[in-house]
Formats: sequence, C-alpha cells, structure tokens
Amino acid sequence: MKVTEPEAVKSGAVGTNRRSFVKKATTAGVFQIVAPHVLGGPKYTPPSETFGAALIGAGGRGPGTFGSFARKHKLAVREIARCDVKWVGKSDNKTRYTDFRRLLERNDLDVVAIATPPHWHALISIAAMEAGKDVLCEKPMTRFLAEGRAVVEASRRTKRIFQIGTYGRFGEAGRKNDMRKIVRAGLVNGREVRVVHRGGFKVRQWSGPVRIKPQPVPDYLDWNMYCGPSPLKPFHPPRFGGMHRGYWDYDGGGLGDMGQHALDPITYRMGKDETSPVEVTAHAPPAHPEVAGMWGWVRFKYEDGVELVLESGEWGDPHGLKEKTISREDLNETERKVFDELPAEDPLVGFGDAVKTRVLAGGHPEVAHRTVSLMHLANIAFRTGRTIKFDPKTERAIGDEEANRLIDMPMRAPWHL
Amino acid sequence: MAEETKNERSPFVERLPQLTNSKWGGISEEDGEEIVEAIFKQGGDAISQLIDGLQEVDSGEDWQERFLLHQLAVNASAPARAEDRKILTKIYAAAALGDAAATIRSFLLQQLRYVAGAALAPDLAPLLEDGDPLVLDAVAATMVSMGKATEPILMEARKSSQGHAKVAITHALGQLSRS
Repeated sequence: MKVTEPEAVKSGAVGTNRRSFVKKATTAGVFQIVAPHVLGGPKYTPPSETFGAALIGAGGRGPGTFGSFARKHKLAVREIARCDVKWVGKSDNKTRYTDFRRLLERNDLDVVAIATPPHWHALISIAAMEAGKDVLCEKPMTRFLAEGRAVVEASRRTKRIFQIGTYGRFGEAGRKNDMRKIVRAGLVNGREVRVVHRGGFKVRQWSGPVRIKPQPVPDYLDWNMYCGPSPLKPFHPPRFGGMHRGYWDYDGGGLGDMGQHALDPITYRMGKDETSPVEVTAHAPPAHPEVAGMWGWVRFKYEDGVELVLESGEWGDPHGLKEKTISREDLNETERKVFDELPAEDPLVGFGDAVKTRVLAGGHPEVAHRTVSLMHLANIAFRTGRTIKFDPKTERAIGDEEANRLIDMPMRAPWHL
Repeated sequence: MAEETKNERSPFVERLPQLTNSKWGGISEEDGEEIVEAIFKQGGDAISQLIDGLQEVDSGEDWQERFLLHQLAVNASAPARAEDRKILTKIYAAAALGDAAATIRSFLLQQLRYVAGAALAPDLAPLLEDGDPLVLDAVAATMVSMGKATEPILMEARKSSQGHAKVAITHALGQLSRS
C-alpha cells in the first residue's frame, strides 16, 4: 500500500515531534514567546502545533479517515505509523504494525484514526484514550450497546477527545431548529411529534451471504486478531473486508453502515442526542443467526411521546405514519415565553479545535453513543422479533433478560471492556 | 457426514425460501412464526432432527437448520415462554454435551445464550474442561450471559484448569465482575 506523504512533512515540520518540541521549548523558556509565523512564514506549521498521528485499520475508509485530520479538521499531523491485521510478515513495528497495542505504546503519538471493522472500534478507542491519545473513530461507534457506555466513561476518565466520523449534526447545528429547543426545554406537552426518515440504509447491499465455503486463512492475515473480541469462525472471504458489515459478529448490516450517518443529524434536530427511547418496535423478517438481513421499518418512542420512524423502503410494508414536526408557532403563549428566553447553545466544536483547546468535540462520545444506540436497539428488535422496552438511564431492556444479552455481549478472551 | 445427513433432513427446511445470491432475503413474520410453532408442536424429535442436520464445517450448506434452531431460541427467549425455554435448553444442552464436532457444539452453546438461565450452568460445567478452544470460548461466553450466578462454577472449574481453559474461565470471571 502506498503511504502518502503526511501534511506536516509537506509543510516542513519534520525531524521533531510536538511532544518533544513542547518539552524542549518549555525547558528552554521559549514556548510562549515564539509565534508560529516567526518560525517560518504564513504556511509554516511549527512542531508545537504538529500532532503525531497514526491510522489503525488501513484498508477501505482508513486512508480517507486519516486524511481528514488535515483536510477536514485542519490538524497539522505527522504520520507516525499505520496498523493493519493484513500485514503479517510485512510489519516492522516502526511504521507498520499488525498489533494496535504495540502502536499505542509509542509516546510520539497524539491522535489516532480508527477505521477497523466496527467490532474493534470500542476496544481500540478505549485503549487509545487510556494511552493518552485523542481519537477520531469511524462510524458506527460500536458493535453493541454496552460498548458505547464504556467508551463514554473512558473518555471522561482519561479526559481525551473522541469524535465519531460522521458530521451531519454540524450542518444541522447551523440551521434554525425549533424542534430541538422545544424538545430539550420539555415543551412538547403531549403534542404529536414525529420524525420519519426513509431509505438510504443499503439494507439489501449489506445483507451477508449465508451459503459460503470456508477457505484457508491467507498467509498475510492475522485472522485470530481480526476476529478479536468476536467468536473465532472459519475464514470466509466475505467476513473479512467488504462484506463484513453483513455479519453480526462485526457490524450491524445496512444500519451499521448508514445508520449513524442518517441518525446523527436527526437526533440532533430532535433534541434526542443525549437520551434514548423507551420503546422500540420493528417490522422485519425473522433474522438469521449469523448475518444481518432485511427489515422494513423501526419505530422509536421517547419518554415524552416524541417518535422517530425509520423505513428501509427495501422490504415489507411501509409504516404509514406521517412526519409531524413542531415549531414555535405550535406553542401557546406561556410556552412561547419560555421558548423565547432559552439561551442559545454553544456552537459545536470540530475535532481539530477540540484537540487543540481540550473541549468536547461536537460528535463526542455521549451523543455518538446515544445515536448509535438507536441502531443497536433496532437490530435487537429485528433479531428478537419483539418490542423492546428500554430504560434510558440504566440502558437496559425492561423485563427482557434475553434482549439484555444482546445489549451487553460477552467477548472472546483476552478481550474485554 | 454431509452426505449421510442429507436424506434425513428435517422437512421444515423445505419450507424456507431459496437464497438469492447466497443471501437470506427473509420471509414474513407470520410465516416464520408458523414454522417455529409447528416445530415446537412436534416437540423434541423435530428439534433433534434439526440438530442432526448440522454439518461439521460451517460451510453454509446447513443454513436452514442453523436458521431454524436460532429462530426456536429467539422465540423461546420471549419473557412469556418459559416452558419452551425449558424444552429447548434441555435438548440443546444435551447435544452440546454430546460427541458432535466442536463447530456444532459451539453453535448450540451460542444459541443457549438466548434461552438458558444460570440453572443450567452446573450441567454445562464439564464443557469447561473441553479440549477444543471453540467449545471453551463458547461455554465461557454462555456462562457470562447467564450472569453472576455462574461465578461459583467458574471459580471451581478454574482451580484445575490449564492452558486455554484457564484463560477462558479467568476471562469469563473478569467479564462477570463488570456486571
């Protein structure tokens, strides 16, 4: 694989790194008096603002995710290394790794991009934050619901920045949004409020193949490490790369691929990005034990009666319910007074600025977790074929122990949350 | 094994639609429920026949049996179906404790995660000494799903365990400590 020249190398910030520069500069007493432009012109990025960066999961979306450090997040990064389980015999444990744990031991690393299949997202995110690195993690954030809470707690415990790799809420945050304000202020007051989102989930595309023959593991692949916390299965090519989204062991089908993209702006707009629904009902065929499959619709109901309906448009009958939004004009005079006095929310902070200023990124773990929780709850409803009652505080299914076994799944040794 | 079992396959597998490009396109909820209820109605022999149709290698040729055995577990996992859970738990556990291939026993142990309560843990304890890592991982995961009540059994098994068994059991205990 061609390793592209990092932005920081192009800008000339080579030969040292941010951590060593900051340490030396602080010791020498120059850190606070040398302005960036003094060092090398307007396009020059000094080492004090250059971040050691690595990519874990170098196939598929990986290079694009890594490239977004500079392109989207305006972070000057110096590429330290990449890590991928398909580099058996090719890793040097300097610039190429097959084991992320060895990579995370490096102290010249500030930020990591995680673009592995989703069954690794939570564990690597937690390990990276425990090792003092900030994290940009591809969607979906997690493979099952309890992983998300563990990532949230790790981020709080370590005070590391985490941003999920989807940005719909940033666009939504710039628009006039009465619904978010009304919902968050508790002004729904029994009115019918419903968001309906149809299509774009690639459900058929990410339904996994069932009848496939096992094959010998390729000599370039660490299959045991790839399976990681998921059960060790015979090697089937579709399980590795490409079609892995179609298997419950690694992802959640079409919702796994597109759910967090679709739901990130929706949960923000609805003002439901820091809580979870209390009831989830689905229309889907009986699910296969191994592969994610088709579904028709899923309906989420929140404690205040607000609803969200997702329709795949790819299977079964449509739900039939229409969207019903709410705006300031729907409120009575007393409610409008409350509405008008609500303070404006702080603007969302991008990952780059969050890393530099140590404030929560706009797609921080709590909102990313609450958003991807919808996907997990939908998949549990598809897989169990029944309505799930859910407690948003404890994040457990109510009166359904077997559903809880899909909310928090055992991991294969030695991996654990 | 595959050839031997082909003629004896459960008639219920014929009620499932053909795959499209190897993919499961689904059946209606009503049709799925009807098949599952018909199997439950026929009882243990019908369920055992599906288990007998499982093939040693996870080749996908027995996808119907795997699908139906999973659907039985999922349906029986509904809170109101305690009796069905008892029946299924007994049959799946007996097969998991039998002499089938490790890939088959580990599949059945995974299905027990949907239906088995901690009361089954003592019966499954011998599998914590199994020589196959697939079975060890699966039974350890099933014990974790059953909850903290399995801790004494895991603790006891850990005393004499070695190699992968010790890793799997210790790991299971670690995961239970989080719950």
